[in-house]
Amino acid sequence: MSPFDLPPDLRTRLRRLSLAPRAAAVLVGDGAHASRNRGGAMEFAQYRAYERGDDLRRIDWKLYSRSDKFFVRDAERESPVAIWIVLDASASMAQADLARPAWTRFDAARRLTAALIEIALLQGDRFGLVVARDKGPLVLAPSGDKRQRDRIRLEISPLRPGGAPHWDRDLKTLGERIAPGDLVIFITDGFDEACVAAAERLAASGRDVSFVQLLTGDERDFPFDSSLRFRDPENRAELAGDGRSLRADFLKRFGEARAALRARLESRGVRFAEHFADQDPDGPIQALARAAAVR
Amino acid sequence: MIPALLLPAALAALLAVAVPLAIHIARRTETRTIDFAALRWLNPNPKPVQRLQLDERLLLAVRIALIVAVAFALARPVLRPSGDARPVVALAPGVDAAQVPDNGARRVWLAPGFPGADRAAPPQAGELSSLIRQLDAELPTGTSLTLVVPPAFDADGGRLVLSRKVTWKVAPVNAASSAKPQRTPPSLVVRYATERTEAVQYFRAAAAAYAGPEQAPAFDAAPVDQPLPAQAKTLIWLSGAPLSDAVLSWIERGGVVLLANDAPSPVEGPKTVVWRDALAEPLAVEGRYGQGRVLQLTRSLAPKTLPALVEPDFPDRLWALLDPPPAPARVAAQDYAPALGEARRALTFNPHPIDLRPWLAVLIAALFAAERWLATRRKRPVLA
Repeated sequence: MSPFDLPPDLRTRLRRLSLAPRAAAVLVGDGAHASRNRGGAMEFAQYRAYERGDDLRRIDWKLYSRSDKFFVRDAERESPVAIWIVLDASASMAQADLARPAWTRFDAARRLTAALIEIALLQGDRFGLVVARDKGPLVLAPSGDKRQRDRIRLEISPLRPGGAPHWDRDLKTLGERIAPGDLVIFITDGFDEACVAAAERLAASGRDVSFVQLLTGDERDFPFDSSLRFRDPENRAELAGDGRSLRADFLKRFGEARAALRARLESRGVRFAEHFADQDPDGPIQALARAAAVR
Repeated sequence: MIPALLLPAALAALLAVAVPLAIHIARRTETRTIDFAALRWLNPNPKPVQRLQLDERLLLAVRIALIVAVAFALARPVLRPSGDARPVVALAPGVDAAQVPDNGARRVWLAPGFPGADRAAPPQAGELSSLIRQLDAELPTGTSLTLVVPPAFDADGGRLVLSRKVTWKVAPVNAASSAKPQRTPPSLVVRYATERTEAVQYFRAAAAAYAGPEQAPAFDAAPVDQPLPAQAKTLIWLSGAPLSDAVLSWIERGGVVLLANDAPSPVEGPKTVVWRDALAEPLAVEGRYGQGRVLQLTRSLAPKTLPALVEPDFPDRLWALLDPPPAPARVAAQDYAPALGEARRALTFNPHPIDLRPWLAVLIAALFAAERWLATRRKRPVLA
């Protein structure tokens, strides 16, 4: 099953969701989100009848002279807010559940990306992508057209997660490309301290950062009943043990770690959501929207 | 029924049980390596797994059962019928079973295997005294034994000395007692070299003496190259030539041959003197060849060297040489009553146990089939 083929029921549910920046209330204007550069990048779209409240400067006086009616030039306007999806392509993203070895965490991340793009397209927002790889970030500049979706799909379909990205190095790129006020959604397992720090830095510098911690079902349930050798895919550390004897302790410690990460990020103004690779991607999006509403 | 093992040392094969155990444990310790990014939240010093983990317990059980069954089969398990404490009445075949009152005793025939007396009487067995000794040895100590024997029977050389005091009953035989068997004289077959034709006459005379006054003598004389008649039992070889292959194989199958003194003897083993003259000089020696007997004269066949040839008892001597009369064995039952020997311990076991190996073979086959089915079925929890 391709991560990009969203099932119809998921599409239906996504249609009801939205991605909204927290700072929307500050700005005025039309479109889904407020804009600070109302005058720029105007491209003619259509004429429409004047309505009360329209800016008088936007009335087409030449047309008025011919038709004796007020018409307003409507512009196709770039959405002022870009949605950035930051994908973690570290080796740990290649982890899959024991029960479903063909569906990796990265597949789930791609599906979540597809769902986010779907919503962004519905909202008419621009969206861009950054994939953090060990050999440097892959950046797709934001755009709002449908071809952007295909472009992103083309870029990340062949990607294989591997290695460990250098978040410190890539933070510079992220800061350059992501404008203040843009919506940034990190999709990562959150096990990399540098990744969490990068999210914090972006949030501190005025970006609206959301953080989706993508975990596998095995990490949530620890369903191992046998003796296994666990290997960290990034630093190759190994640990042998029996699943049953490890389970209770792991679930406790890991649960604490997850709660600590959530508290840490939320205290820095980062919206936090947990997502599991074996679940549908509308859950975390809904959780992020709720987090925005609570604020 | 008392179970027992005839070869308990074979139970050492039970050590092989360790093999399937090792197989089933080894699979468990052969751990899979999986990627697990949340490794740092795993306890780095996990408790060791206390319980011994075995997978596919059903298959393991079948395999262990299979090995145990094989080990037991190697140990030759038997079931010994437990002793029957009833007094035993042993009837010699031929005596009238109705002569002995039935007092609830176990009645058996004195025949190999000691079949119950409710069955038909087995044919007369020659070695009655041997069977009596065997029965005495096999019965548990203290079981009283009654022996019912005909007035006269064939005994062997030793007296009956039994471990218990037995009741010795002489009963009349219900059938007509078998008369003394008539011995038939040997029919002589002579093969001679042409230069020894005159020696044939002594054997022709003996054959004539065996035959009745009106009968033609059973005699067949021919040169050495003539084949033997099909029914020949005794051969007289009057030639210095070695025996032909056909004759040798005939002897091997049970023929009796008397060789001239200069014929090469095929016998390789020891020879015994079977005929001596009045001065105790050996006249004939005997050896075995296959199942047959090879007799050889020590002197040439002429009255000058072997005066016995012309003695009147030569036909009887020759008969005794070719067909030795059986040793006298007939004994009156009255005089053959068993004596009480020292109380040897009776055999503590029944020497005729029921062998369980055929049943174990069936069990092993069933277990093997079950093991193969379990081990090759499509849905195995552990891949082989």
